Amino acid sequence: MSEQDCLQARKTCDDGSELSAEQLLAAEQHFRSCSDCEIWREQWNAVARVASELPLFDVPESLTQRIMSEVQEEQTNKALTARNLILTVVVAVAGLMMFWMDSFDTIYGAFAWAVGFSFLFGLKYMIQVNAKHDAQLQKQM
Amino acid sequence: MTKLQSFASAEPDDQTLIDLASRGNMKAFEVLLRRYQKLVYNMLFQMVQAHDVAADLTQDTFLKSYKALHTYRNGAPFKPWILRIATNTCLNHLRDNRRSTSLDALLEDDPGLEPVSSIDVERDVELKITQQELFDALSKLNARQRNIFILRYQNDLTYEDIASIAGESVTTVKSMLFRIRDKLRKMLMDDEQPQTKPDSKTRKEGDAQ
Repeated sequence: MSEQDCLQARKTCDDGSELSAEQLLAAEQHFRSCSDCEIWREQWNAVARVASELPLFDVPESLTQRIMSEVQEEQTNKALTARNLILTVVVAVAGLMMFWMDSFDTIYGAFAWAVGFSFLFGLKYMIQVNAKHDAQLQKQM
Repeated sequence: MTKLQSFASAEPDDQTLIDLASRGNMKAFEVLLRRYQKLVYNMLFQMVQAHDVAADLTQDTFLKSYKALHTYRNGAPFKPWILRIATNTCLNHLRDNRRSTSLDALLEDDPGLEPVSSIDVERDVELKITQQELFDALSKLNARQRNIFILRYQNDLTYEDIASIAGESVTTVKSMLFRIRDKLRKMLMDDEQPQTKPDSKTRKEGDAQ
């Protein structure tokens, strides 16, 4: 019995799904006639058996709450980042509209001023909402 | 059934929860968290073998998964996805806190055909590997080997899932698992029978030498 026979038989223990019935039968016959391989197979199976029986620990509720709190904070940060981005865009557009056309002589100039003021009031409103939101967050923490 | 109806039922599926969570529904994310935290925590615990570190890494894993929900591919199974994030988080942590207790240098990667033991097959072979012994032996593997072994034999993942988590081919994973399991077998059996001599194997009558 060659070492190659032993190695071939042992390999079938790992995953025999791609082997033919003849190959599996030959491996089984080898195990029955080779004491080393038979013991090897018992030890090999014992390793997987004990691994599958390793204890599973329950996760403490405090950890679950800690994770949820972190995730909540992440979501809040994301929302604030988006809000700040919107505010920046609003300020930039309002600035452009106000100073691009600086005359009331034309209808376009007047329109630019009207739009500019509208944006400024919008900005004021968003800052107030943002501040309220921040205050609420501070209370929650 | 709409997603909201599905969520209202007892067991919403992963995809529904992911869709809702990615739109900011915290309740949906909490259900996902409670569904998978035990799996992730225990995999990480076997990797780092310390409860406090496993807890920190579990937290990192779920936070990263929340941030990456928009990259989650619709219809893909969630379990390998979250375990891949946990694996990467853990391997990064271990790389940053590298320990020098690996026995890799002492053990051949190639399993070869070393004699298994001097036990005669006629004798009753009692294989008393305790969980503690396996736990200790696992700590002597390198992180990558430990990870692959745990994913297969504790978490019962398929070769395909492990391959996607480890970034290897299925063939490589199969080959690695064979070597890892055989390495553990050697470590555990050497501990059990320290008197074993390599050249003292016995065979049944009729075996060719």
